[in-house]
Amino acid sequence: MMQSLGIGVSGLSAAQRGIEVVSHNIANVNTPGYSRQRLELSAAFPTVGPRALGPGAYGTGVAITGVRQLRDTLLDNAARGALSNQGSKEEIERAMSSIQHIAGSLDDGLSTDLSRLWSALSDVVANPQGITARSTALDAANRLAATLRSASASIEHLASDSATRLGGYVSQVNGLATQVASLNASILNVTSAGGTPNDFVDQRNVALEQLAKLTGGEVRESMGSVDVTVGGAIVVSGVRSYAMTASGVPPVIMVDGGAATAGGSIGALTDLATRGLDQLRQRLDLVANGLRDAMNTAHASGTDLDGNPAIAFFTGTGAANLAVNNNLGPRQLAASISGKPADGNNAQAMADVRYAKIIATLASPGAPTLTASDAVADIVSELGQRAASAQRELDASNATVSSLDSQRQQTSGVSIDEEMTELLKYQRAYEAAARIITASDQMLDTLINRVGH
Amino acid sequence: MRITDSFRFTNSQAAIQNSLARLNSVQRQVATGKRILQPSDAPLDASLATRLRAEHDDAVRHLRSLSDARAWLSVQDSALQSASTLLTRAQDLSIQSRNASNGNNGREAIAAELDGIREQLALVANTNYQGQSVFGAFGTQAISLTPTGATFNGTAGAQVQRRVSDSQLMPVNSDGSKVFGFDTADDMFRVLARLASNVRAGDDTASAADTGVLLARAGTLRDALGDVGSRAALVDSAASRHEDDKVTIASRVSAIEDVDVTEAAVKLAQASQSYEAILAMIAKSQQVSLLNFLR
Repeated sequence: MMQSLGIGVSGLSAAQRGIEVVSHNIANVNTPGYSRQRLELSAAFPTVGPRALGPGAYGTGVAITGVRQLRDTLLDNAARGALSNQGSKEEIERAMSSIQHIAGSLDDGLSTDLSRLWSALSDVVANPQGITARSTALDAANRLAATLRSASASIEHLASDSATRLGGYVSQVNGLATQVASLNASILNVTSAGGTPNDFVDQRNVALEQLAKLTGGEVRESMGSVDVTVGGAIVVSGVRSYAMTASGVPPVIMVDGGAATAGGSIGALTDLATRGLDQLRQRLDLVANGLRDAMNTAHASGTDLDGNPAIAFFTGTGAANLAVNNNLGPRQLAASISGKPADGNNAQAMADVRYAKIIATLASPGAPTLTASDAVADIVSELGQRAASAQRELDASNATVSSLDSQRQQTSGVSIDEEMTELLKYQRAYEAAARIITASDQMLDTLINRVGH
Repeated sequence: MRITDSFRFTNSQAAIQNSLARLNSVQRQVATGKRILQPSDAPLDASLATRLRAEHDDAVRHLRSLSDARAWLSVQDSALQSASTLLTRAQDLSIQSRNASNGNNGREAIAAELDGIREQLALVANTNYQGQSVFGAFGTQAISLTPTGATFNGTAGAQVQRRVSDSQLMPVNSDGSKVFGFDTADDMFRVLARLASNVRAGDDTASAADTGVLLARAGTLRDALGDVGSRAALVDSAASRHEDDKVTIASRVSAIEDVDVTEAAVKLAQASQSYEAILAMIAKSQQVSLLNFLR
């Protein structure tokens, strides 16, 4: 008789714990990284006495064996890999989509500036003594140089912007590494006290995902604690974390004093600084230097309006410094070959630089193989292609992340409908267990108060 | 497959985002009339359009240069025509001067007219276009008259060039030293001056010889006129070719870059319809859950 009371009480408390777990799940329905939890129950075996053995043996109610998290650790690993990829693609896409405009807009950019210069020089041919035609040609040259300078400035701007972002990311990584190490410590404490550190594990998982996205770091789990390595360098080992630093131009990533090759967002940014932007910078410099040399050579064979020999047309090395010679006024433009002011043949030779192969490529820096217009069109198409493929790769990476996320949601996500049925289940179980207690009570009442009266 | 609430919300959000992004891109195309707004929209087309636009600018530049060339040539054409007329008159006069009925007065009148012709021919030889001598390259005055003839001020063989096409330059001046016979012993002005003095002196043999030289000079003039005419024809044909190029290239650029308005309008309608459909669908489906039925 007293046994059924005890069984009833075990049912009551199991149902109560069940409802508590359901409440915890519902409360965390929107918590990022939360994995739903389930109460683990088993039938309690008879402890001692005749009921433990022989025919008619039965148990002693329900026992709570634990609260289990529903999660797929393989998917967690895959998700971290995908996030690292996404972090890298996001940075590349951001950089490429902003840099594709450096050659100017499609209908008014570097290419238009070139055409303007040829056309203005051709007007000098028609009217070699016209000061207006000469100033217009110089204006066009100035504008071309300014466009190249501003293209170079946008690259520098992007580079310094990337460096700032990199610094921010590195300090985020350090914060996350400290967090992971301290969560490792909390998890070990709870486990050694015999508890289940489910919610700490969820929090650590969120931090690990952010770390993976930023650094592409790899996670190794042993005995409930995790170690994180970035490109071979240990960032978190058990309850200790090691500081990451970024310094220099191009930036070098160090962990605890040793060099580390990061992936993820940080890896993409360092790669961009060391290779991507530098290559573009070199190509613009080839355009600027090729134009400068060709125009200076053409200009040098002429004489100016006053019969003086030509001075340099463009000055400065590289796209960042290209400028029309300060001392070159309209009268100093060497349009004449014969020395006579009405001769525009040298202006013609300068306008004909349009057709000359004057721009070298990165593959063969010594020998120019492209006309200026072709070089600009090539840059436009390459930047466009890089931006387009960065966009495509980011889309693909986003799709992978969201598909892995939905797979994880299938296992770990909280469904309110499901929790409601769980709630009903435990509510009913509670009512039934309470009924057992009432029934036992009535039976005891019958036995104690009515028997013998 | 187990579906959870946050999974549904995330998916709905993504669906709205995707649909809105499509709508936005079509809207931008319609608003700007351009299919390619940045190189990444269609990298190869963008680069092709950049090249074509440079070619278009070339054609425009050639057309400007050709219209300048045409002006130079037509100025020379009319100058050479009048020079030719003047020479014919001079030949007539020299024949008249040998008529025995001419008295001293008659010969003096003829000689004076010959002097006049020489001065007019000097004006013609000094014809300018935009301040530049068309017969004496890189100067303003091709010749200056002297009592016994004239001196050539230009540079023999100098060319004023204009671009006709990507690969071709054409001289648009005429070499005055050739046209007016400065490359021979007897240039036109010298012959005319000598003829006038021979007419005054009544030396018929010498003036007959001068008439012969004038005939030869007139032949050179005709050659120069023919040369100018053929160059003008070349300019006209090149101009019409570039005019065609300009139109063709512009239409190719437009075909690459511009939006087909009808197609874009249809796409816009589709995109906005599908956006509305997604919104309506989400609004309806997210209303229901088990909570609605639990009492």
